[in-house]
Amino acid sequence: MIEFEGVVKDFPGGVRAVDALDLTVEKGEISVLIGPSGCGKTTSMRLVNRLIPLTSGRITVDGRDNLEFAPEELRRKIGYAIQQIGLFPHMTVGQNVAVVPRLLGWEEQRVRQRVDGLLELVGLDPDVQRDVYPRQLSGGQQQRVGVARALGADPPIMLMDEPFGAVDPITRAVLQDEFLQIQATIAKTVLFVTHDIDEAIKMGDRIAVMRTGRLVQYATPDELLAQPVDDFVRAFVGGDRHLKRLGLVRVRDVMAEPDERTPELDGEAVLEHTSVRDALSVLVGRGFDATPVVDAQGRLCGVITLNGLRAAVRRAARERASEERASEERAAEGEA
Amino acid sequence: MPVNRVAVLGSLIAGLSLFFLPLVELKPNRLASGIPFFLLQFEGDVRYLALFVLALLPLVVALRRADVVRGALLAGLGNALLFLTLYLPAVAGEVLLADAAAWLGEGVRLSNPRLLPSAGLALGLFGAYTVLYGGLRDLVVAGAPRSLRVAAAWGGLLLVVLAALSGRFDVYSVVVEFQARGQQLAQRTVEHVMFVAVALSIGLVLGVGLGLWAHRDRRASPVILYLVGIIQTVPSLALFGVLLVPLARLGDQLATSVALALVASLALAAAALALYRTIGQRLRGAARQVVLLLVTVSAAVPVALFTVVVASFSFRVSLLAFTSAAPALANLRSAMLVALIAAVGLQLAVRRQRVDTARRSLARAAWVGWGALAVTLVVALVTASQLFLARVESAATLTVRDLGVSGIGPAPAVIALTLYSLLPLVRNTYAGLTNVDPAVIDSGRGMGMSAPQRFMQIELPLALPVIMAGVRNASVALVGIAAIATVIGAGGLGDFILGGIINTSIDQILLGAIPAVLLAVLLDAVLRATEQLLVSPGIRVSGEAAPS
Ligand SMILES: Nc1ncnc2c1ncn2[C@@H]1O[C@H](COP(=O)(O)OP(=O)(O)OP(=O)(O)O)[C@@H](O)[C@H]1O
Ligand SMILES: [Mg+2]
Repeated sequence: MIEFEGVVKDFPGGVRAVDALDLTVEKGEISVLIGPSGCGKTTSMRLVNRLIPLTSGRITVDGRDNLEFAPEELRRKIGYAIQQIGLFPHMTVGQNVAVVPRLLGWEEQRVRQRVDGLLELVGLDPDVQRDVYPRQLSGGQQQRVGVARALGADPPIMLMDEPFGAVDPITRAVLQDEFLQIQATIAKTVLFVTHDIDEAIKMGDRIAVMRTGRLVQYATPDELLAQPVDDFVRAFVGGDRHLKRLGLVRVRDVMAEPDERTPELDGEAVLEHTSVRDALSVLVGRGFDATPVVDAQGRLCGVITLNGLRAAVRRAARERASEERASEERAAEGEA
Repeated sequence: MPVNRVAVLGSLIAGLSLFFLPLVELKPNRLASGIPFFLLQFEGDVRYLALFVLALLPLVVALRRADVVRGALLAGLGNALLFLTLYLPAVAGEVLLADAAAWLGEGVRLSNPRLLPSAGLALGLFGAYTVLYGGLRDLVVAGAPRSLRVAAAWGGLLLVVLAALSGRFDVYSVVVEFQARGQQLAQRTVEHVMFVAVALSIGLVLGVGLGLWAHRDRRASPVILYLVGIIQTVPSLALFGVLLVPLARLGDQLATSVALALVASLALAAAALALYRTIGQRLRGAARQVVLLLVTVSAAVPVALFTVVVASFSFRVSLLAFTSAAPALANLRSAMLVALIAAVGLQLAVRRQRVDTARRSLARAAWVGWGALAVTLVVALVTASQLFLARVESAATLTVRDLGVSGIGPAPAVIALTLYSLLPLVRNTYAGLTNVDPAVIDSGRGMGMSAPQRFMQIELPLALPVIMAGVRNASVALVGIAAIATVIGAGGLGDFILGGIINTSIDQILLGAIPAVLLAVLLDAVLRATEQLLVSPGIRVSGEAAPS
């Protein structure tokens, strides 16, 4: 768990990069920091492992004030993937990944096993890539090594500053999926920086939107899309926020039972874990009214229709309206 | 690929100069001038004309399709030309020398007559080497096997060395001179090497230290870089003059009082630095410059004292260690040689060995070899310093002059050389460290490396190629500058060169100049090899990355 309590950071020259930041990253969750360039994302992150000293406020890591640790000790416990990757060019991939374990004085045997395990985890072949140098890798492979290196000594907490920033959209999507898969098993507490709203929605358990050093809204992706607190966040999440919201829902959650006519539908089948947004795109794009749903093994398991999707969206909007009413009432009561 | 223009050029140079310029000059003795001989004047048969034909053959070959065959042919011709340009005139020369009196005419005092190589021979060699180089380029481009490239590069030179060893070139004046003064040459060469080695070692410590300081302290860096730059512009003769009086004065001092002065000035420097650290930051403008200057000057005194004494003393002691006939030192020298050969051999074996465990034990053995070398070197130096100090009666009367500091002689020479080595070392250390990608250092910090760990594991290895380039620059330059040390009676290969100039004896000049050039080339090669060993393949500029 990482907690920011009233954290302020002034740089010399009077730049207030972080202003009264209150934020809690829950254990085992990914919190995404997002905001326009220069809003203080990297700065907030570097305050956690004390790469820069804070001006006032408090940051606790797993319940302990981070000032209690020696800086080096703190940093070895916190995995850090920096924005520019920053692999050590004179070390092989294996040596890069082994840096923190070696700093911690692990036995050679254990380091070796850990390195090979991590390389496999991030989708690299240890026998092929362990002994090559970073410059022999593609950008995507370097990002993978960066993540593996941050995971080096199995730190409970990870800071990831645009870890998939420098690759093409397809590779980026692959890396995101792989990291989510890894996270499902290792459940790290992750502070993740990006300025791509789609990445934030995909990766985050919670999203913190920042603007000029201040936290504007901290909410789950669905809440953020449903109820942006102000025009800045609304503009930031984009005019297609309702469509994006559909992206958070899986087809399997809104599909209907297949009936006897379903197998005869000539629409192309969609997989059950496709997002509703993508399914809608299939329906609209091909001009179908309905299309079958199959599971991973290709077995028919349901059907979705345009009318059914519309109903699902309406239902969600109704729920939101009543929530909004309820919260307005609560606010009114509070004022009274 | 087009015509091999390099080979064409070489062929023309060789052909024209061998034909139109005198190849050798027949001299009655060391000093008197002789008479020139052209290729056509050589007595005998058409063999000598073959040299001319051989020189022009590459013209034909260079027009061929570019491939391994062309490369091999050109390299072969180049090597043959290289060898024969030296060999055939020597054969002809023997005939000339046998009848020297007839050629030179009556009344000339013949003592040890000899052949002075002339312009035609020198340019012929140059042309031969150019052809060889053109062939080597073809071989590299065509991807010829390494063994062929090595054979092509060194074959002719090997023949030349073998012929020289078997006495084939004894007619040439340089060889005559060498045979007359071999003993002296060895002594001067050792001195020369010692100048460079001692100056470079001390310069390395000072230069890397100053470069580090310049890198760390942004305010000090312009001052440091400016000062070492200034040193470089002082002509070496002027530097000797400037050093003369202070060193002579210093020599009169008692060693104990100088040691005291060193400690006192160190304390002063430390105090000034502490003062600068605390109040220097808050000062503005001129006041800060004054404080900074104070720090610099107070730090310069102990550094200068230390450098002067250590440099002079190390030079005397290492010279003694490598030349003394004392049996203990002779034994240590043999031990050093054995350790060196073993270490280099093992190191080479490590690179060839593919099996992981075997490689590791070989590497360990190589480290033992290097360790043994270091230990024997230290023991030799200690033994030599005992020998050197044996003349002194007691520590109380020990003067700085007894430690080897003097106004003329090797002390000012080695100190001046140390100063000259500073610029490339400081500048390259500074540039190397400053150009390390900040993101890489930052990620090291983020992973929890301490400042010393960051320096040793990241900054130094990444700056190493640039620092090593500075070391090579400095060492090659020092080999040249060391030749001037002779004017203050310091010895070295400059003795032959200066003597040759005074006597107008080209043979003698060459006797000093050729070993100096060879020394520079050899030193450069050794340092390049060291660089190969030390610099990670991940950041090597040339060459492919490590095998995957
Ligand atoms: N070392 C520093 N000294 C002075 N100002 C700084 C320093 N580092 C950052 N800043 C300032 O603090 C503000 C926040 O910078 P920060 O790097 O945290 O932005 P960011 O949100 O990570 O931006 P990006 O998305 O471009 O990476 C910026 O205005 C920047 O100029
Ligand atoms: Mg940033």
